[in-house]
Amino acid sequence: MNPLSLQFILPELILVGFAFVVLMAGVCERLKNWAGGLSLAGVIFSACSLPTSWNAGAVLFSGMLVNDGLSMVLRQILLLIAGIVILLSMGYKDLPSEDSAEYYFFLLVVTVSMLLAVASNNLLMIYITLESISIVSYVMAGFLKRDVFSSEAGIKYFLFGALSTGITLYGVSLVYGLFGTLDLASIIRMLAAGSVNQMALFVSLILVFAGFAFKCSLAPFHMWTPDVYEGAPTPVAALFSVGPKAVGFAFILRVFVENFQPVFTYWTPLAAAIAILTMTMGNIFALKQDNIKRLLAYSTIAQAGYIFVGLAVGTPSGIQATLFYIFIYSLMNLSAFGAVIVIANSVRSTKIKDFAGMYKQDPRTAVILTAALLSLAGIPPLAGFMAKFFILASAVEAKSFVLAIAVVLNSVVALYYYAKVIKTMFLDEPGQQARLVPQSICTQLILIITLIANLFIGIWPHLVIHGLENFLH
Amino acid sequence: MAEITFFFIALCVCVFALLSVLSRDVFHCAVWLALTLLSVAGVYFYLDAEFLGVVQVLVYVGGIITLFVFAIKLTAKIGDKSIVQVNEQTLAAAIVTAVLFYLLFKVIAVHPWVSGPGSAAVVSLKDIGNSLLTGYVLPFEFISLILLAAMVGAIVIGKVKK
Repeated sequence: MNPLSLQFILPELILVGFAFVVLMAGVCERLKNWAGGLSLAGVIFSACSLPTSWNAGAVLFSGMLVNDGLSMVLRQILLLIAGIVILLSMGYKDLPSEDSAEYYFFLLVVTVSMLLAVASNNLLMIYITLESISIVSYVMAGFLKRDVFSSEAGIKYFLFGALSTGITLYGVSLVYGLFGTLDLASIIRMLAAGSVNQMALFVSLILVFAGFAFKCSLAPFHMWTPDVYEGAPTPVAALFSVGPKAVGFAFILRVFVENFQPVFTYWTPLAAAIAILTMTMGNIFALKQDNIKRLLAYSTIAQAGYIFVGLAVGTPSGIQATLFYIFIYSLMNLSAFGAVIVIANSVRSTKIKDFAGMYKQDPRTAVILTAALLSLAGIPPLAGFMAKFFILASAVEAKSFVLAIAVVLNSVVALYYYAKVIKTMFLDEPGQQARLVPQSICTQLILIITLIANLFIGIWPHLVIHGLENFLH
Repeated sequence: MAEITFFFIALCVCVFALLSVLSRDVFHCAVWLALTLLSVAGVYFYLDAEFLGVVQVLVYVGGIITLFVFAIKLTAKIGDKSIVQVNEQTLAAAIVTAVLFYLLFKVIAVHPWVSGPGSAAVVSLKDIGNSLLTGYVLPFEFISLILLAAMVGAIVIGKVKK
């Protein structure tokens, strides 16, 4: 084993350490309220140790992990997501206070799993991290035990998730049978050396794909998304909509685009079909939703379709556009969910009609939610426009005009339901006077930061793009 | 002779697996599942993978099936209910399963798999222990974290509010 391996997982080790401290803090009555702050400190220390881990060499833990551009970029994004979700959770009023330490413990464990997942270069490690993210997610989805919907979300997520990771595991076992190894680097070498039966490869890879697609909620594996997002605590839904999704895309990128694309001849048409199906299904079903969490769930399905376009194209510019989109999408979506948390704390509901007249009662949050939704719709000068622009550019560059047209048409449809929410908040008369409750300063802060980032990156996207290029090349 | 042994074990796996999904009593399902898992352990022994066979019996039959039985016995009104094993999606499910079966059958037929006892190197317990703490040390240690999280999760879900 490479002695630098431990240096590479320093951020994960710090998080695990803090996870244990947080769990212990839950035992002591006086320390309970510190769980959120402690876990935030863990994420910050972990983020500070990231640059050290980049110097640890390329291949670690006998090839289990790899230290490349993709893992560097995604580990930063994931830690940022974890930090924002912790801040949002601190401002979420429905969290049962007696279990709050366990809640933050799960958040830290899922973060560790996600960090290891994006660096995994072995199908065994990929499967274990996928399963670990899933197991913790089931508990987090059902965390509000007194809420029937939350329990339903937990059990639904568990049933679908167990089935799809089981299918992935079966596919992995077939890949092992075909190559005699699970190490992706060795598999690349064997693929280069000799031919492999296309049929056998196709079937095993389709099975492996099922679990990844489930995590990204790509059609036809998206059915769980609205029910789980609606029932799960809102910060957990916010996490599900960005964190495990980024991991799923990282898996697809690593396994399918980087490794098997040259031999897997069906990849491009298949991926293009899935991308178009996903964005269309997401947008069409979003049109008639009356609950903001369900609407955002369908919107994340559609967004997953846009992100997947970059992977279907599979060119270096497509991969770069995908990573850029994942980053922007995470900020926008967390901003939207954060605003929903703030508004729902006051109106005690997530029905869109209860958001009526929000502009008059809480103008700041209404404007932030509007900016996030317009950015998700891809309206300039917000960051979402640039993200969509790069995805479109990569599709056009690769001459995938069908994909490009599908993205444009879908964006038009999507604008309708985003605009409907904005219209309700600004133009409709408030039904009953909602009592404004004082909001946590953390949530307010994170909402303002995401709003500024949304505008700033929309106007100067090249700053982020340069950063991405530095890591990827 | 070896072939006959294999086909006998394989037949047991298939029949018990079918019974465990077709049986209408949830307790019977658990028993058939235990027999399925035992037969799978038989496959491992047949292929000289003794360690895997023993672990299969210990973990699945000894641990998980016991847990199933306890869960069934402790859950009110689930033990004596006759469960319906089909729903309105049967036809769609049958088509998907048939296609998947056909594809898997083709895959198994076309690829020259390593098969039969003695065809793969026999791995000793010592080798397994060594590789768990060298090449596979990261997944091995990481799984312990998952187990801790799963235990805490089970307690959080299961505990009654005071």
